[in-house]
This record gives sequence, C-alpha cells and structure tokens, in this order.
Amino acid sequence: MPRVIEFLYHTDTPILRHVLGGRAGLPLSEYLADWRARLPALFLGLAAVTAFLLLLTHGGVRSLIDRALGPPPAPGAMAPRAGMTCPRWLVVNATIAAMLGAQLLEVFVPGDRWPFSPYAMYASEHGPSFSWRGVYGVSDGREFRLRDPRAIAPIDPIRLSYAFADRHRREWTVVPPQDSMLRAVASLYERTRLNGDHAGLPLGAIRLYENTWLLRRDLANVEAPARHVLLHEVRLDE
Amino acid sequence: MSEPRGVTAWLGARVHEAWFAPGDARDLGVVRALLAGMLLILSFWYQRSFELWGTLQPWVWDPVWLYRATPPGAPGAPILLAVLWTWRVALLLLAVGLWTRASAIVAALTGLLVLGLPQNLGKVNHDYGLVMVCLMVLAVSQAGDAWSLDRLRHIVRDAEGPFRREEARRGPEYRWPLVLMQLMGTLVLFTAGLAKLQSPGAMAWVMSDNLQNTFVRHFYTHDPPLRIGLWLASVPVLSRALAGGALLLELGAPLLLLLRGRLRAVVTTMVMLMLIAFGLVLGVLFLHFVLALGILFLPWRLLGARLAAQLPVRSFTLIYDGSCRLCRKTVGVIAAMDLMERVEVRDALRDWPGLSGRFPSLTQAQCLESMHVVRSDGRTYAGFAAYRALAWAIPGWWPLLPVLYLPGVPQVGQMVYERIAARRLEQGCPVPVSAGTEMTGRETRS
Repeated sequence: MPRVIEFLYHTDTPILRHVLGGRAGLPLSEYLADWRARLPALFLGLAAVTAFLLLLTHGGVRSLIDRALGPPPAPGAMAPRAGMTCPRWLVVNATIAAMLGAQLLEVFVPGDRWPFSPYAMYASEHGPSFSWRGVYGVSDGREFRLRDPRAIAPIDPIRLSYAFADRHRREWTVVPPQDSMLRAVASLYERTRLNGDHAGLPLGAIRLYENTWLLRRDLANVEAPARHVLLHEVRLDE
Repeated sequence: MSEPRGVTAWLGARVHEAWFAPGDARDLGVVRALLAGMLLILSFWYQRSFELWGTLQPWVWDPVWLYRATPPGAPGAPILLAVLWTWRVALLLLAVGLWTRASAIVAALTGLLVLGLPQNLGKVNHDYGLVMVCLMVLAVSQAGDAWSLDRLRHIVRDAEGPFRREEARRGPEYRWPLVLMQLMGTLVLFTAGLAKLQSPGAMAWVMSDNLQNTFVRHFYTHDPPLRIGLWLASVPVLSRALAGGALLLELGAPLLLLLRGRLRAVVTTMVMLMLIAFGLVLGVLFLHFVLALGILFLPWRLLGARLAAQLPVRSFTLIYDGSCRLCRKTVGVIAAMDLMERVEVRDALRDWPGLSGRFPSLTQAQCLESMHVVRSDGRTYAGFAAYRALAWAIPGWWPLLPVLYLPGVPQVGQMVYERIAARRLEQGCPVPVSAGTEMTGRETRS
C-alpha cells in the first residue's frame, strides 16, 4: 500500500487526483504516516469481522444468539424486498449503503467528510507542555489575548487559533498572508466594539504569538507562557 | 427454536430482521418530532448570529468536501438569514409533522448550509454531524405516518364507514430509518474509541497522564465552566479510571443496538452523562450530539406511558352520532390525539344497548343531537363543555385549557358548536332518532 500511495502521490492524472481528494498539498511522508496510523484499526477491524464470521460457522454460537435474541424469521416469513416496491427498495438500500459507507470511509481513509467526520474525542496524546497560536490585541500599550468570543464573533478563539495554525494544511483555497488575516480579525474586533458587544478599547496593533506552556494545576502561568514568540504584528495606528 | 440452516441463510435472515422487521410508526414519529423540535429550539441560541458568517471575508475559508466546488467565502448576510428562517420553518413543520416529506427534504437541504457552513471556517465542529445525518435519513423515511398533523389530515380525509380506533401502524418503513440513525450514532462513539486504539493506544491513553494533562490544558485554551477538572487531574487513579470507563463505553457503544428496555435506557443515560460531564469539565459541550443520542435511544413511548399512568387525569367516555361523517372525522382526530388513552369512544347508534345500561340518565336522542362526554366520576358534559372536559385528557390540547376557561369563551364556544351542529343537520347528517333535548352546553351528574 505505501507504494500505491507513493505512485498516486506522484501521478498527474486529474481524475485520480480528484478521487484522492485534491492536490497533494502535504509532503509524501505525512500521507505515509497517516496510512501507518490507520493500519492497526484496519487490521483490527478485518480481524474482528473474520473472527466473528468464523464463530458464526459454529452452530452452537448461532443457537446461543438465537436464544438471546429470539429465533430468526423463517425463510418464508420474510416478504421479498420487505414488502416495498422495487424503486423504494433501491432507494432505502442505497441510503443505508451510502450512510454506512461514508462513515466507514472516514475511519479508514484520511480526510474529513462532514457530516461523516470522525470525532476523535480527545484521542490525541497530551504531554505536560503544549504550544498554541494566540492572537493578541494591543491597546494603550497593554497586550491582551483575544479570548472573549463576543469580541471576534462569529469566529471563536479556538477556531481562530486553528485558522492560523493550520494555514499550511489548507489544500483547497489560496491561503491569505498572515498580515491580511490579522487585519480581518482586527476589523471583527472593531465592529463588535462599535456595536457595544464588549467594552474593549480600540486596538493599536494586533499580534500573532506562538505560546508554549508548561501545564500547572494552579494555573498560575496561564497569562505567562514559558515561551511567547511573536510571529507577526500588524500596526493599526500607522 | 429455529430450524437448522446454513450460516449464510442464518446471517441473511438476521440482517434482514435487524433492518426490516416491522417497526412501530409511533417510535419513528416521536424521534422525528423530538429531533426537529430540539434543533429548532437550539437554533435560537446556536444560530443566533448565523448571518454574521456572511460578513466574513474568505480569509478563514477551508472548505470541507461538500463546499469545494463553491466559491470561497460564505454567501451574503441576507441570503443566510433567508436560509436560516427557511430551515426553522421547515423544522417546525417537521416537528409537528405537516407536509412531513417536503419539510424533511427542505430541512435537510437548508441544514447543509446552516449546519455545514461553519465547518468551512477554520475548524470542523463535530457537534452537528449526527443531527445532519439524521435529517438526511428523515428526508428519505416515512416519518410522518404517526404523531403528525399529516396523520390527522389523513384521518379527516378518510372518515368513511364506522369509527374504529386506529391500530398502531407497523412496517419495515418505520424500523430501518431508526436503526440507521442509531447505528450512525453508535459509530461516532465507536470510531472515537477506535481512534484512541490507533494512537496513542489503549494502554497509553488510559494509564498515562494524558487525561490529566487534557483536563488542565483546557483551562489554558478554553473556559471550562467547572473547575473540577483541576481536582480530577490531581488524583491520577481517578483520571485513569475515567479514561478507562470512557474508552469502554465508546468501544461498547454498538452494543446499545442490542439492548432493550430499562438496560438500554440506563446505558444511554450513562453515555449521555459521560459526554455532559466531559463537556462541563473541558468546556466543550456537544449538546446536539448528546441530545440526539438521548432522542434516538431512550424508550420515549414507554417513558410517556409510565408518566401518563402517574398523572391524575380522569378517563372519559365519548358518545357521538356514528351516522354523521363530520362527527366521525372529529372523533377520529380526538382518538388519534388521545395519547394517554383516556378516552373511550362509543357510537350512540351501534353501541346504545350497552350505553343505556351504563349511563341511565342519558337518552339516545340527546347523544345523537350533540356530542356527550361522561367523566369517570359520572359527571356529564355536552357540546362545548364536552370539548373542554376532553382537553384535560388530551396532552395536545393542554395549552388551550387556560383559554377555554376565560370568561366569555364558553358562551362563544357553545355558540360556534351549535352553529356547526346545525350546519351538520343541513348538510345531510340528520339526527336519526328524533327527540328533544336541553342538555347541550351544560354539565350534569348522572
């Protein structure tokens, strides 16, 4: 499979690229790593299905299930196509196949096909330190993190952080420079401020930082990260 | 016991049964009404600033596959507002079951924009995935065959022949949509468990400091409403037990499909509580997803029946003129809305021999001239008062109760009733047995 991925990565057939989900915007190593990460689940899934089918070949197992669920319908008791018309039967089965197929595709094939997106529910491994992109405003020489959702509505601070952190991952749009992204955030802030949605002062500058924290349960360093690296700044008062 | 058969035939029969065994239309109807109602109510909070997405420049645009063929950026605010309100109206119609198929299709299509648009703006929100899938399934299903105004319209249209209380509608069309939605819900949880097995691995996820770090980390990036996460992080054994329990519940979620009755309700509640607790501790509550799980898996009709049995609502005997088409329509609607099964419907013509013995103070002529209702304690109502008495027994009419007791309303109501009753006589529903009566619109005790 890695060879297939490599071949597809380098191939230039438009249809194939479309099937693959767009331009190969990431290095090949990322696609291979993603495949390796999904391999255990694929193996586990196939092994579980095979084991289940093998178990079912044993009549005793089937009897056990019958005892738990009640006897299965007799062959003659099942109406052909469950009593539905042929077109309706096709629609119903196509719906079931499409929904389940899309959900299973999400498990085994990289991508995020909303509304079938895989939701990992905090599966990522978190260590005692982490880095996070944060947007800061500067008013009267005082710097503050934009954490109030009302100040940058409809964007929220989490979405904002992802928007900056994942810029290089965007495969389907021309990614605007950080400068114009920060200006856009500043204009959101100014609009909500003028609307009276928050009591913030006008911004003199807006900054993007890469923060690294060492986690503390007393939260004493929330506003004082161990590393606070300025990535970009836009002066608004010039 | 089942007859011996090959594994393929056995598996085929089991799969067929799982998807297409006759289901109850009321189960699907309840899910439709609750799901659409929930989305409608939450839309006034979650989509309260929806039109603002239209003011954003495409600087944050990162389309999911559904939107890759569209121009970057959201449509303008007026278009978004129009779509949002179309969605809300469709959800309202879907919840009450009026033009159900059409409203389900419109709700699903507009939902792709209302729920789907924010997915293109920086981050995919997994809260909306399951409810969007459910809307798509409902659009293909026959979800309006029970618990719906469409059903009442159908009863009114087909009020031919003597009244018969409807049998519960059953069929495969009421099972597969429910099974599909439930399966999709459990797959979301199962894939979350699977993701933890893939990376970092079950042992690492459960036994390391991972969950403790996650609890603390969210105080740096989110605003958790409860500070209990900091305490949990200080008790490693507890954090690990929570992680293990969560992983077990996620991986075991598909088993929910096999559970029935009280056990299913208990496990569903546990999963919901787990998701709510994590939401409060981490500051990320997936309310749509949690509520959808509850709607799909809790035995609502059973809970409703238990609740109804506890309510101090009396039962009634409704006596009507079975030869009158208008009366049959009315009684059909009343019977369909009698969710607590407190109303016994009797025809004054066909059932009179039995009724005369039970209610000696009533005459057949009285009962043929106006609808009569006898409460379980013997109190008798006729005309408007009969409707008002029935309103206590029919949950769908409860919101009307305060209005029905306002001064002047009984007089106007009785006038309207008498006018309609008179028109019924003019329109070919003559009273079969002639007899005078003075009972309309008043209460008596038999």
